[in-house]
Amino acid sequence: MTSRSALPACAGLIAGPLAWAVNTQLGLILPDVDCSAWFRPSAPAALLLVAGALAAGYLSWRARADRPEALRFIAVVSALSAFLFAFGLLLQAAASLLLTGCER
Amino acid sequence: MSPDSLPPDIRDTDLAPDVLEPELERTWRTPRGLIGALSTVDHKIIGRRYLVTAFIFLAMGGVLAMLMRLQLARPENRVLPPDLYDQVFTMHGANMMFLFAVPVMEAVAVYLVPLMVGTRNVAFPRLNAFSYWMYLAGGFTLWTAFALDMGPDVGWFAYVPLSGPEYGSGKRADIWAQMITFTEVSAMAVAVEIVVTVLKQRAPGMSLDRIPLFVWSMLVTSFLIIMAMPAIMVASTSLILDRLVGTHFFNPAEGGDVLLWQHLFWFFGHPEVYIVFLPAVGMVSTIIATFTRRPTFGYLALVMALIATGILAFGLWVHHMFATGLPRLGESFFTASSMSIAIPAGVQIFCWLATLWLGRPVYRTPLLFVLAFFVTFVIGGLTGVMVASVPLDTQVHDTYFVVAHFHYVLIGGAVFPLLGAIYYWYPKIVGRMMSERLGRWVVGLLAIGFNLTFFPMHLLGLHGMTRRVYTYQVEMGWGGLNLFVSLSAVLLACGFALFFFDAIRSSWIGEPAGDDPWGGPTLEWSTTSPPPPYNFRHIPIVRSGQPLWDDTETLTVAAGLRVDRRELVVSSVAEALPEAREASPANSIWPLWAAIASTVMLISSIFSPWAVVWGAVPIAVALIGWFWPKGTPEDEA
Repeated sequence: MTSRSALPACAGLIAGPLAWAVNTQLGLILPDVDCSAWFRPSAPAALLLVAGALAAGYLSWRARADRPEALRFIAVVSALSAFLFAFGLLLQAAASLLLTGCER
Repeated sequence: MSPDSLPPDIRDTDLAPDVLEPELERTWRTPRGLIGALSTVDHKIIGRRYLVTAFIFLAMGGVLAMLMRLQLARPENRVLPPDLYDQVFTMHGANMMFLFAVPVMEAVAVYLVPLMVGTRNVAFPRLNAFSYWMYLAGGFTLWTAFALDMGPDVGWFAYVPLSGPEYGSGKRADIWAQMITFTEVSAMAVAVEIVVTVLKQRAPGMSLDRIPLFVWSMLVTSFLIIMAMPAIMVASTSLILDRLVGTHFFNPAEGGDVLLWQHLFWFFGHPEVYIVFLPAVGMVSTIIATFTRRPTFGYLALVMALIATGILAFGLWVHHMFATGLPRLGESFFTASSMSIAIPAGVQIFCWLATLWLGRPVYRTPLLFVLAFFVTFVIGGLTGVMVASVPLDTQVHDTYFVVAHFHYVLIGGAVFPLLGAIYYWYPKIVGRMMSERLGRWVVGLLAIGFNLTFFPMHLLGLHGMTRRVYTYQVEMGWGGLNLFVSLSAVLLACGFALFFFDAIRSSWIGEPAGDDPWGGPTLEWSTTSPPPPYNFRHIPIVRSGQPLWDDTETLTVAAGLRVDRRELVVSSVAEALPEAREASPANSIWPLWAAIASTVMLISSIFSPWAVVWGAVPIAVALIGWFWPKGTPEDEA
């Protein structure tokens, strides 16, 4: 498996969790900004990361064609994982829309 | 050609089977006698030791649980004084999590993963031996301290400031913290071995999409261990430094942070739940496939669920901290992740149900344990979704509702599958069958006893009974339910006692098992029961996910390995293409010496920080001895 052919196949498995991890961390940092500034960045940040996870998942899904069996397997696992993390991010985005960041 | 006259560099292709097997036996065997027993690096012997030791700790932890139930059976009871009760519940939790739950799962992996991937020993076999000695020393340290009335009394998560220098007098909290170091070093050593074994020692042809699901689960679990456990080691070491050296990591008065402890602990503590649960997923998948006589439905989805669960496990830790006053928006993010993890869990359940639906289930004891697992784990999962919600969690936090929830998840979700796995793989490990009749009694007693014991705890929690209280007043109205719980716990204990009886009895008079008593599809069933020291006469070649169910008379094998030294096949990560022949280290006494030196240093460092400096010298000597070339054939490139 060369790194060139493996990367798109693994994209969802790398970018999906990474986007979710970044947003989880932002969830501990941004509430103060949400509460004090005129602009609430939590929701757009989460939605942006949802888009990133979905794009990576799509990349993996496309990468399943014309690959060896093992790599095709990883590509599909990767794409499904990305969609799952996108769902988690969507739930986090929903929380960002419902709460102001000032609640304690 | 007689074995005595074999030239060096002889290959397995050069020898007839009747000569090959004795020669492999001579190369891979563990010598008889004490030195042989102490220096073995055979993964099967070490795995067996791990298993027996872990189950002894389970029994000891169970005795502590029964003591607690005795104390709580009546209001205002005086069986255990409060100080001893504090030690007992702490010992119960610490023992079960650190000395039983994680090690027993790794024990199963240490024994089975090399067999299931078709290799002759685990990667880094001496590290494997070292890990067992460290684990044993950690358990011995904890229980000796308890016997000396120095047992930890700060809860299994040892929150500061209770465990800090201000409130935790004596050495009790230090014992807890250092026990962590022992068991985590051990766990991480095994995790590294499993990762390398799975990624680089698979039989030719066992590509990523053909790896047995139990092996996948142990691969994911091992990564979790490697990433989660450093957090708790940092935390426990910082705690010892606060207590012994006078640092202030957790002292707010000097710029430290009490919540830092909770973040560090639960960054480990939540993945810990999945470190215990994910191997059970692999066990359940394996058992269901064998007893429905068909491949597991949704193999790819199950692998995705394993990986996704493993990653999501690192984003849930704050749901243990909802009562600490963190911003609600941040908490909601963790609620979102906690809800998300229900999806891969649901995928697993539906895949298993589909397998049962599409197959022709044979209801033997291992499968009965799986059915008991379904019911209890789903209840535990449902209450998990409930406590993932901030409003509900803040109401039931630190009550018996949470005690009920995590016992449903841990016993229902992990111990039931584990016991099913023991019934399933016992014939391979011991060479004899466990009793089917007693097994059914064990399942019945455990399933009924467990639910009668722990379900009422939900109600006790909702009625306000908090965790860790050593007694309660009559006016609280908890007496009736507590008595019922304690009586039910006797039923549960009888189930475990019968299991131990069956396991011991069957090792003597169990029916001989044969190589493959269940008709299992994976490679461990292709060798004898118990397996020889070299596992396989030839390394098998794999052409599907169920190699023993393929329509071939015999298994295709790879040949060309040296017989005069321990040698195995190294293969590529994705497609398991054979890449090289690699020597596997021979037996050595040095891992034991290294573990003894480490033990002396770690225990001494509870009392003096200088022990770290002086204790490093014998450790360095032991490691030099360990790695010094011994002139054996295995040392050759």
